[in-house]
Amino acid sequence: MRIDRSIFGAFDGLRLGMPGKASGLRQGDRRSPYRGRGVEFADYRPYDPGDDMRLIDWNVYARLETVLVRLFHEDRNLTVAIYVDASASMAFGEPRKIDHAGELAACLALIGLRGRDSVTVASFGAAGVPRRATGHNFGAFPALLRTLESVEPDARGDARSQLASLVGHTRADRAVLLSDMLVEDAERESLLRALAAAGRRPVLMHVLSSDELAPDLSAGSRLVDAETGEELLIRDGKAALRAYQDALAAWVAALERRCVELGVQYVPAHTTVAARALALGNLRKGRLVESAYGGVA
Amino acid sequence: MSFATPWLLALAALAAPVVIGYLSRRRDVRRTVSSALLYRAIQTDEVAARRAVSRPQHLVSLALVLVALAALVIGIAGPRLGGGDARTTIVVIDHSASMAARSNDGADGSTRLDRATDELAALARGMSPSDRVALVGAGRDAAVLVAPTRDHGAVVDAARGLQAGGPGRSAADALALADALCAGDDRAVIVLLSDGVGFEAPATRCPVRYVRIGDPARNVGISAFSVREADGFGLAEVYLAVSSSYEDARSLDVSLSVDGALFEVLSVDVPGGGDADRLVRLALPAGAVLTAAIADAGDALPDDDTAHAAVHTGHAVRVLLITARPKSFAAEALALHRRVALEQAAPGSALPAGPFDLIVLEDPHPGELPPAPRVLALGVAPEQFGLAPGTPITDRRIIRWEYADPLLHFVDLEGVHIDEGRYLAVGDGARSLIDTPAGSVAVATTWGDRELVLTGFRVDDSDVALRVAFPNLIANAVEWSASESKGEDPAHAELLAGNVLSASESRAGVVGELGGTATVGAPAPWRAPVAPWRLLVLVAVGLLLIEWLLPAVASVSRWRRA
Repeated sequence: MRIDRSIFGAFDGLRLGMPGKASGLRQGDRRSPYRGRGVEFADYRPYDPGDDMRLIDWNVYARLETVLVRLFHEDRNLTVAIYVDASASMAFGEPRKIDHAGELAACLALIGLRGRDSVTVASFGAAGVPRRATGHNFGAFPALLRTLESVEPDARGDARSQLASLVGHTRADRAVLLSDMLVEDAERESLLRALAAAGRRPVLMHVLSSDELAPDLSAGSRLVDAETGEELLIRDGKAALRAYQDALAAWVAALERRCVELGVQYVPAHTTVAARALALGNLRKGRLVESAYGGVA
Repeated sequence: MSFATPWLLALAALAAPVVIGYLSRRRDVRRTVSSALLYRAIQTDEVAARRAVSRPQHLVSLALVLVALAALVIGIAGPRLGGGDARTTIVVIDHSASMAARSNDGADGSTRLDRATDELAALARGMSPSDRVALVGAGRDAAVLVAPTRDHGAVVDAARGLQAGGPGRSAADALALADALCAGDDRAVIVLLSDGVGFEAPATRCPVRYVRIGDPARNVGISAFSVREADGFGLAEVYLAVSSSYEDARSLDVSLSVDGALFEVLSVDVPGGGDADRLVRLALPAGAVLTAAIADAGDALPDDDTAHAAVHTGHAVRVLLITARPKSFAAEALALHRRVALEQAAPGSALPAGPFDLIVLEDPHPGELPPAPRVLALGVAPEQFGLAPGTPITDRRIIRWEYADPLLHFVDLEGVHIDEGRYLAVGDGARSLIDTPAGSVAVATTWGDRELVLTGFRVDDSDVALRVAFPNLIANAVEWSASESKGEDPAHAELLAGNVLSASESRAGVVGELGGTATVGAPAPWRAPVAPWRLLVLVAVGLLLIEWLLPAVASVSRWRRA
């Protein structure tokens, strides 16, 4: 895939949004559910033998003659997993859906790494072994970019098993799936379920191209599915276009509905809107990214 | 409705493969898409969709293509409304001296005659092959150059062979000839290709379309030049007139030379757009031809920058008259001429010894004639001179004669009635001197090494002898033969014959409209009308291109996007 690096400068001051607490293993800037070393007081608990003597609150002991240990909030980083669909269908569109998805993934990775979150990017759906890279700080960003850029849509692989395999490595705070979801119903259900299990706050970024949103049906055509080789003879004309758009709207609505049922946040990320505009627009609105300084600026 | 080339209608058979092509034309364009998932909702029955004609819009397309094809075939076949009669066009092309004028701006080196020929070629291209066209020349003489024919190329070739020159005094004659050619044909039309100078269109039965050739040009020229004896002591009076169409006055030097030897230069001041003349008395050196030339004219028309006049004195002329009549009008007229030494003989009798300057035949002579450079045969059978026998005269009206020919100077044949006679064939190298609507009744030709003028009627079989035209004709015949006896170079006769242009011609103007004619396309040149069917052909071709090229362009565009 091809990634336009000129868009990265627009993301200064942003960080990944996370409604809940961070569960990363590394120290970070986000509130975690864990108690431990930190600067913000959280609670007291009775002293247990072996506790660090420095944590005993001696003022309380003097007043109450009870030995209590001070507990602090521990700040951790987010774990973010970004899965990019690299099946053959992603090679279509202008720009190609794979390039659009790659830019979005790079944007999210950049924003995450700037906030010292752990970011994993991986591709699935293409033939061969899925590519995967993880970074914990900004210095890892070039390696993640190279990983993304090495991905090209290929003959169709087993997306379901590949995604399941990737998800099995870790459970992330944020799992983002970038895909056109143009697969049969059973496979789509498997992918959504795998995504729902991949993170505490899963997100589906649905990538469709302009050709898929409003295809040219002015001439009769014999259509060939790029992945399955299935052939269809289609009607042409305005009536056919209306029927297509009705079917598309129904299909997207069903997808959204299923996402809600599985607790997956649905974010449309069509190629008709540039990646930079999406990152600063739709993703902000969906609280997938937020200002590092607070507010909505 | 008829067609110029009906066999081209066979091209309509092309409709069959077109229809078959449509019936078998597959409408499905193979395209690869990201997924067939979304398109299943609009897929259709495969068998019905395989043929183009399964869709109403393709039936409309097929109908449009068939209509375009029909228009194309009809257009190529050249339909003509209003019956299938071929049209006859009599083209009168002016090749008088003024048609040699070129444009002053020098942008185009072609003469008016060249442009007239181009117009004729354009007219021929616009005609259907069944149309007939004739060509009548109007130059020094009026003559039918090409009789009505369907060989349009021959007409154009004949026009290209013309040379502009001589005074345009035959214009009205040419139109009268053209009118005679198209008589009886209601759809015939006369097309006059001319600058209009010197034309006075006579009343004609056929419509005349005047195609104005050329633009007004700036020119100076000699419009009159003559010389005569002034006294008995060797002085001569020379009269010279010069015309100008320049806006400003000009001072011209006119050189005078005798037989090519310069002996005097006259200065002539010509006003802008006007005339000037000089009458001078000069002692001419010995010679036959006096020539006046304007120095460094550099104008549109070079022909009128030089003029010639004969310097001559009278000579006795020896004439032999062969006639069986005891009292002959010709004998009386010849005997009365003071310069004629007449000898008369009966046909078949022993003839006096020659040489003679002129032999006049009123009856055929079975034996050999004595030497004489010129022969005037009045009503003798053409076979006597090896010419084709003519048919008997049916239309006895004389409609044209050669004013400019030396033999017919001051000879008025208007209303002359011919009781009996024969039409004469105008062969190669011959020219007609007198015409009736149905043919020539007098020709000038050669017979061996002699010049021959032959009439198709006897003097006694017409009333011409009762007119003043007859003694004038005989006097002209004497002068005609005298030129040889004076020892002049034969080239002089050609040089002197009508070499001075009129003032109107010298001005190299262009007449915008001619009375009695329909001016076509003025000021732009007249064009052959473009048949609306040609437009139909263009529309048809355009429709076919749109029908076949647009899908191809769309396919390429889709392929490039993929």
